Amino acid sequence: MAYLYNLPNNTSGMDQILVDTVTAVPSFAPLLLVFVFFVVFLGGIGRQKLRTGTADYSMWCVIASLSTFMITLIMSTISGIIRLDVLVIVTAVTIMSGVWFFLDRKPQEV
Amino acid sequence: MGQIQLTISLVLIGLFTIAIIGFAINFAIDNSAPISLADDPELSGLYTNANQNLSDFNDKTGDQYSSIINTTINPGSDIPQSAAPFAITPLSAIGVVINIMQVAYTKIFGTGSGFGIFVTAFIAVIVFMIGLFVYKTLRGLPD
Repeated sequence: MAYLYNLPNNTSGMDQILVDTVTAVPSFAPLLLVFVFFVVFLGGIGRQKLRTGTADYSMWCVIASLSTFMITLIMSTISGIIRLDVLVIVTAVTIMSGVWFFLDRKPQEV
Repeated sequence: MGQIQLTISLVLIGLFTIAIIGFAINFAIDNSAPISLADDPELSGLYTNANQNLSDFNDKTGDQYSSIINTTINPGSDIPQSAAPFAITPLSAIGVVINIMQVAYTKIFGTGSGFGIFVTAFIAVIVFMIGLFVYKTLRGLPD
């Protein structure tokens, strides 16, 4: 059976499967990070709205950004999974969400 | 959002940025990561600049603190004699946020984007807010 890409080499370790997958589909890593970000962001907002009636959008944006940031850092320890520009963009998004968070506090909050 | 809260927010933005970038750089060093944030010159430069901005903020805080506690108000007047205590917010803390916004914006949207008015307008809004806070506080007007 012919494949459009080379199958991952499963005997070289779990990380090699990820590297081979990213080699075949370069957008895999960025889209995985986008998926993680929106799962935390939308999931957190949805649950908080169900429980309290309102949602703190900027706080969930920071939490989602930090979650994505940590996963990106872990992925950066293996060569070939993410590129430097992806790490830089994730860092920039995290910083921007922090700016939003700290300028979004209400008068009764610190 | 009052002036105290705004100043603290600006400083916390700087500390947050330093913490994020510093953690990423040292994480890469500790784990010998092939992808390191230290390889990006602009974010490394932002790390250095934010450190310098906050150091300046620290230096000026001492001088302005003495100005604040030495400010006198004449009997029957609600207006302080000097606006010097307010100088610390616009001159020092605002530099942190301007640097952060410009670098972060460039990294996400690029330098050639036609959406550049966003960061320009955002910085202008912050400067406008601080100016208005100083004026309203001097006049004794509520926020």
